Amino acid sequence: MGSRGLLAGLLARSACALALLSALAPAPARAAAAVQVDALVGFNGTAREGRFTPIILSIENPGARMRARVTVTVTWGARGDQPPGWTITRDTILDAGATRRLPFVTPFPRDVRALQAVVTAQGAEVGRLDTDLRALSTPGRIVAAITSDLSFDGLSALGGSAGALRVVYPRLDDLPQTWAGYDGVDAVIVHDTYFQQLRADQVQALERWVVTGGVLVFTGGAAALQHEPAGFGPLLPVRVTGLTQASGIPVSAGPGGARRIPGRVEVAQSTVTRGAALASAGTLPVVVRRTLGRGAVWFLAFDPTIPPVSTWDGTLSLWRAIMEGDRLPALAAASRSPQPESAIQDPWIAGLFSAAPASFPPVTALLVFLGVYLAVLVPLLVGRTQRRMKGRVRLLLLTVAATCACAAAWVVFNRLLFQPGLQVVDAAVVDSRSGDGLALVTEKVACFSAAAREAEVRLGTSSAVLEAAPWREGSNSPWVQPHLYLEPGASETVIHGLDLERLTFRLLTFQDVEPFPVTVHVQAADSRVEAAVSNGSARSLLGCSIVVSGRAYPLGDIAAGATVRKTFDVSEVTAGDAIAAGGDRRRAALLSAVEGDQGPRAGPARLVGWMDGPALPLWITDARAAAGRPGLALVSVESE
Amino acid sequence: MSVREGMHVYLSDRRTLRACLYLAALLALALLAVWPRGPLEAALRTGQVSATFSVVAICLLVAGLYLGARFGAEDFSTDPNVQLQELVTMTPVPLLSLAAERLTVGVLHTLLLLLLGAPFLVAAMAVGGADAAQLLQTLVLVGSASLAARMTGLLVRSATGARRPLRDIILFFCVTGAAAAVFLLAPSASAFRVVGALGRGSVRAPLLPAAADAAAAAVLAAGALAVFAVMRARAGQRQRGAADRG
Repeated sequence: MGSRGLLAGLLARSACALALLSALAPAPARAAAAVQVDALVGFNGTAREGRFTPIILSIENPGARMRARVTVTVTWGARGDQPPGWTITRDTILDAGATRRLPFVTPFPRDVRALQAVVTAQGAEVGRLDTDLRALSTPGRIVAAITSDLSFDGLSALGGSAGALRVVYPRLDDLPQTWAGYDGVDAVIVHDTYFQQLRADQVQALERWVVTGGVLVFTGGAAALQHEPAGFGPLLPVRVTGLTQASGIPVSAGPGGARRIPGRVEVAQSTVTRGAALASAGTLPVVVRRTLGRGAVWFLAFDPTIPPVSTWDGTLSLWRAIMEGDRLPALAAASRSPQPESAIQDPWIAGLFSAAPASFPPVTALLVFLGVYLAVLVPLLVGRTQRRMKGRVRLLLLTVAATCACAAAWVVFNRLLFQPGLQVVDAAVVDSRSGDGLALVTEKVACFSAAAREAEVRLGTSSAVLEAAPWREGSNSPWVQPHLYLEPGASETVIHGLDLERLTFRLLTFQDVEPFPVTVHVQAADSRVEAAVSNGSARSLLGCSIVVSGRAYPLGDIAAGATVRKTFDVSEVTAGDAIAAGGDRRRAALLSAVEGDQGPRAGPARLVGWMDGPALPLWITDARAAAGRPGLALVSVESE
Repeated sequence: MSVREGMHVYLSDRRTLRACLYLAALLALALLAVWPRGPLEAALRTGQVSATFSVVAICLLVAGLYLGARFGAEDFSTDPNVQLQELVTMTPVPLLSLAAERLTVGVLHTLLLLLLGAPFLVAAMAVGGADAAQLLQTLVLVGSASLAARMTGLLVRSATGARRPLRDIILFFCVTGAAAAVFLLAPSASAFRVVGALGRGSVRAPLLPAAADAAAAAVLAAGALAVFAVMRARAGQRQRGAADRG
């Protein structure tokens, strides 16, 4: 074989080897297949403006399984290239050929603009959805009806102070998993579930939403037999036992003034388990109300969607009485006053500041410091002793004097008299009703710092967080509008990069519904008051008092898990609520601010107690409590 | 004159020491004047922050420039042994080592002045909203600016000799003119602008003026060295002329 043949053989072998290598080499990274993104905003595409609203993203992945990052942004405000917005990012896995539903809860500002959802995988965008939200926004009240037919449209005649009332019919699967998702809804009516079952988190979300002031109504008739199997058992104020027919049943949403429904009506037989029957036909409860936190759970033994009730002229007034007007949104429920112009004007924070005023170091302290320092310098620099002093000794003494003065100034003016680090003024109110086992916790955290810095707030729950007052960004910039933060469904809420300019306050309001099993029994006779308090919570209650008719009866501290019983002689007790603050000015200021903010408490009695430290599991980086952090526990006692 | 002798002069001369006391008194008065007296709540309510740190830092900078220029021109010195003219013209001291010694003594004395002024800045830190990093940046900025002024004084002194009114006028216009020109034309390199801004928050490239001033000090020291060389050459010519005439 000649050299030409050898060369040809080598070339052929090389070509074969290259072909084999290229076949065995890993395939180049392919771009992830596109996913289809869809969004369900609010309840059936309706969201109340100025409230939180649920958003469910459906992401259909026709390709291979992928790890994806979903970013949801809601923008608001005037037109512009970069309108203000709120963004939440969540990592998820999209299974091959499957559709994944991701629930979010977002603020829905009055001037909401658009929703943008972006799905990225391996750094590349694989799906996107842009939706104009303006058409979905409504200023009026929303009632959500869980029913298999559209039978509650007549309720739109109720209206309200905010304008029209809109009835929406969400699917059971679409019900929110967190209480904040119901923030835009005034009432939820459960008619029938078409024999579907709710998940436990959906039931818990409904219960917690009621605690924040929601109205939940279970209707009766034959469909009432579905309520317990559907998972509503823990919420029902009755136990449904069967079905019967009754004539001329009385209906009332309050004590007295019952009207009778003409004709024969199919009603659910039940026994009251929690709450009180407001109207009964003999032993048959017809209208039952259970107070739960700030809200109420109702049970109507009849079906209001079928005749003769649906055609009865008293039905609308019954619904009007049940819904009790426009519900306060959960996140605004903490304050009846208008939003403060600055954080320091918030009633809670202002009260704490006035009770424990933080101030700059006094001029007298500065004068003492300057006097001592100059008194040390003068003999070293111009005194008689300096003439005989060697230069090296003088240098040493001057260095020591200046160094000591630096250390003294640091300790006195940067540690003892004034804290340059992040300061926190923190107050919480734990608002519960005896026996409910749940409490609406509102915690206000005002942060400020003498030096510009950045803070991180970490909350151990998926709480709703509202920035409640405008703040100043930069020394010469105008006031910036408040922000909203929410991490629904997560085990914690983290606010990164909370910018604090010099001596600028930022006020965050955290709200959540937390277990608080405290029960209070009060029996007030003419001259005696008997109180029994059982603290089943994990925290001690300090300086407790029972307040009845403007008089405070001190109970002292109640340890976690303890029960305290006391009998008081009315004539021996000092009048006034001040004793409930235990002589603590900070507590007195908070108690006064809360009563001024939320209005006087209804009901015959309440327990006022105190907790040390934040009520919610809250951490702020490098924070120091500037004016203490009183936690006020209020447990109302009301006869059902 | 060695570095030790130079420092000895600064630490034993009455006028020099009294100038240090005046510096401390000025800073004490400034701190007292701008110390926030209202309640903290009022400051938080209005969002108007105290300028305590900035004012004290600016006072230290002005005093540092003034004292640096005067010390550089040897105005406070009463000791005839350190008179520059004689050292250059009548002694065989190497000029390079003379300029280096002046620079070294200037750095050390500037550090002493900064040390004496530092307690006032530390006292103003918390209420003025500055942190430790801003304190150190301020001291570096003031120190470098003061050193540059000191070298300006040395150059003017060596160029003009002992003619006081003329020297003072030239020195005043050189230092203020340079500071004003930098303030207007290159704000990011102006120690005044950066020191004033440090107390109001963080500043991008806060040490740029310090680098510029240090470079200016080195150039000015080199300029002074050149003037020394001219002075010594002229003195040599005069001595040779006198010898020739003799």
